[in-house]
Amino acid sequence: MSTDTPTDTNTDNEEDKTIPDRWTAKLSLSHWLAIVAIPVGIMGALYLFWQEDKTRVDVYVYVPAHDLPAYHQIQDSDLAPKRYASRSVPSGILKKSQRIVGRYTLTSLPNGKPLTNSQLGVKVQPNCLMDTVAVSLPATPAMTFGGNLKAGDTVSITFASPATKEGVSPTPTLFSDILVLDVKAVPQTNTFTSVIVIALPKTSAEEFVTHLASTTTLVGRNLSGKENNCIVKDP
Amino acid sequence: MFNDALKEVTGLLDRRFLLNVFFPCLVFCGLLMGVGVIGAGEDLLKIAAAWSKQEAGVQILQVVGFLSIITVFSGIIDSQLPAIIQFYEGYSLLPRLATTGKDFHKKRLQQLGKEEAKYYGYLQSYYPPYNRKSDKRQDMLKQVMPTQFGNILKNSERYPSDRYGLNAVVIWSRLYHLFPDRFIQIIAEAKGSVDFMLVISTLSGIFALISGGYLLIVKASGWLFLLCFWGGLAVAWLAYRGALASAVLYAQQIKTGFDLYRHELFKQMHLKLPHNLKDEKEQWKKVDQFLYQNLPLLPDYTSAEAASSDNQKNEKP
Repeated sequence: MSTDTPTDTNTDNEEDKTIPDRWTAKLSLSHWLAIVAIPVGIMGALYLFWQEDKTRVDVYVYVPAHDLPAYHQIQDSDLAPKRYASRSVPSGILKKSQRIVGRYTLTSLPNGKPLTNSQLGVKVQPNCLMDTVAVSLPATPAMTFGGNLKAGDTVSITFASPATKEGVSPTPTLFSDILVLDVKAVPQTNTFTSVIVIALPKTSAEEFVTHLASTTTLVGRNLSGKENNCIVKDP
Repeated sequence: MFNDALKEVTGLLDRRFLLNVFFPCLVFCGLLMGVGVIGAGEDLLKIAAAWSKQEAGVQILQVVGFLSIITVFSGIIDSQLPAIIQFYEGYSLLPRLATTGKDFHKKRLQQLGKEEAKYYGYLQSYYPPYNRKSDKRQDMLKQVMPTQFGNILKNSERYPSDRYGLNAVVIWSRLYHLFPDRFIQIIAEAKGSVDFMLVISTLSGIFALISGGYLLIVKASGWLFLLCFWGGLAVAWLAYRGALASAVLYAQQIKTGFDLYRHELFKQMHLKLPHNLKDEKEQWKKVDQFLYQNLPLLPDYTSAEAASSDNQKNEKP
């Protein structure tokens, strides 16, 4: 503080007169910044919300109406429309029901969440998955054609028993036109093991399991170019 | 004043340039680019994925180009640091704003002055010298700056004149060459902290204005606008508050420099050391008149040996 000599004539009232008693002097520049910034922010945001509302285009996206299990063929009744503003639609999702109905789920799906291509298998005829069960087979690289087997492929599975003591080879058992629902790589301790999930007719399930335990399994794919009748090609 | 002289000291320290200017500018430009992309309705992740698919050579070229632009921009900001500091001191404000700020701080100074005993420490650091019972109180109030930051620095500028009667503007540029390296380093660190906070405050304020204006023009999301505009201003204000604490420390170092090393200038100029405070004030007045107005200084100099022996005599009780 200053070392100037104090005077006895000063009073607080006299001091106060030295500054114009403007109401603006009651606020610092920080206060003024807040006073300007808050309304400007509110007005700017209101303008943008108004613009957004004015130009808003709603888009309906079909999402599961309830939780769906894995390998379930999706029907019309499984879907419900959900409204989105066009600018807030998530990228990479399936919007139209035509692109969803008839396909089967590759994993369990929660209700209300938009679907993506990677969560669904190919579109199949409605009767093809009827009376079938999803069966998974532990697969060697040979069974997955070195990784080329994929969901939607049609394969034949052959069970070959070893020759008897008399040297007679039993007739192999063939299951043809089996739809591959999925091929998964399951992580193990230090490596990955492949699993093939197939749609097996219920009538064949018992025989299939009987052979599975004691025979060699061969997976074959028809190279003649014959299409599986179950698969529906998108137009 | 002090800032101009110290700029060359801090300018030599590249580490300080990187920390105080380059990295804030890097973050500033990165955020502006992000807002530009999102505001245009593009997907930031898709662009990042597309960028990562480019050839390594192209990526390196783009990174080098981006860093070059940041370096140039940082250089511009660094060269404008004195102007930034002056702005926060309140020198380059619009007259109306400056008057408003000054009136507020004058009122506040008067109110705090009424309870001087209670707020003595605060007044010693945050405002220019003020004595409500002095005849010169009007002159003292004229020293008040529009901003708190300006008042803190004004406090350190007025201190040498108030205590020793020396003209800090004239003496400082000569005195700081006589500081020990360690002391210069301490002052440079204190100033670096002030610079850092003010650069962040400036860039945040600019970010708020540019991004806010851009988002309004492209009619982006209202929430994004609020985040950028209010967020930028909030960071600017917080950084400014941080700069106040750093400025107090910086101002204390300046005052310490005058307290401890002002007599070194007498020795360096081959002038006798004064016997008491009254003599010292008189002597500083003559030095100031000589340096600033080219008026005669003293009848004679002391030689180096004589100055040394005289100074030793003076130092004896």
